[in-house]
Amino acid sequence: MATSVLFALVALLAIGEFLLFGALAEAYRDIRQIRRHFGMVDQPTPVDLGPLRDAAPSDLGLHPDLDAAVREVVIYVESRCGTCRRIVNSLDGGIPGGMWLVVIAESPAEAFDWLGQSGITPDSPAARRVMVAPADEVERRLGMLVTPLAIEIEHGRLVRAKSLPSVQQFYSLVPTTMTLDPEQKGAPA
Amino acid sequence: MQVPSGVFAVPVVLAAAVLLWAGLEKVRDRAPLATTLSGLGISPRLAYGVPVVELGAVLALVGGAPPYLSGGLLALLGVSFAAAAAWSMLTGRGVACSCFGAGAADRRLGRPQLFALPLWLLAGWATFRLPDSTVEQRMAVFACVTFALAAVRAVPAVRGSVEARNTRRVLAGG
Repeated sequence: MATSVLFALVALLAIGEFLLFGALAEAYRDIRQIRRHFGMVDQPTPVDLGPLRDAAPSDLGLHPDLDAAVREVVIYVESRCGTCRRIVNSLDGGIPGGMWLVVIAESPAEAFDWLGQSGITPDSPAARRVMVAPADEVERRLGMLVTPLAIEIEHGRLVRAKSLPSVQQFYSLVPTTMTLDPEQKGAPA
Repeated sequence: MQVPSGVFAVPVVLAAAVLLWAGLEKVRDRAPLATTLSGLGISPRLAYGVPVVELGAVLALVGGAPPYLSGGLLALLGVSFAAAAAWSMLTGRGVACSCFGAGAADRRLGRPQLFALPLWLLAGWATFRLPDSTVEQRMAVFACVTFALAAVRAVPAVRGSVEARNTRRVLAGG
């Protein structure tokens, strides 16, 4: 009899666990639905380039070298944005090939003061792919100020833009360019 | 050829496990079943009755009730599920299943319930062939089944927690 009672108690506990796990699974399903509803998922959000689509990068005040780029990505970052800080912290002294940074700051000194925390100094090779622009200038040229913002350039034209919600999405944008040019083969993009 | 009587316990235990899962999920959240019943043209008040019958069939099996009662309940439930599916298909209403609560809200009543009818009848018939057992033995099986169901139910909860944590880390860090 005592053993039967013991088994009954085990069964009751297991039923309680079953109900609690069911409620927990439903709660996580609710969280997922709420995140999707508010766009809080790790997916880049497309940004309409409007009249800037197919414009040359230099029209936007970007580096003139980008006007001849096959495939490059420009990322707008600023120190006040949390995701931007995480992206910059992840760089560890270098910028992935094919990526350029536009740091929104009042001066190059202020920009490199921030970038210096991740090992990018004005003298480092990565600094060649860093541009600095004040917030009002970026807003005037783009018509908005969204960070971190990625603008993809293909064959010297601005083709698409998207906002980045995470460091993972930043690295997923690193372009891979294949070339038929024998001199360029094996060279970093 | 003589079939070992223990074999007949297999469909009965499986049927009891399915009914226990379905009954507990419906007790936890009655709204999906009420919607299903409304879709079938039945009063949503019966949403209280269905899990009671399902869990009642399980308790009848565990309590060692006469086979005509426990087996009859299994057969009655199987016929009811199949009839609901047939009605849903004939009327073309595409009524939501709610068989296991809200977890599979996009599933519709239909062929699975019709195909399951022979299995319910088999389980009901097998209750007449069950070997003699003590209360202690039945409670041991019941405890094992409930524990296994709780373990299976934990899987989506743990997966959900891992996914939620990963999303939080990606979006907010930390």
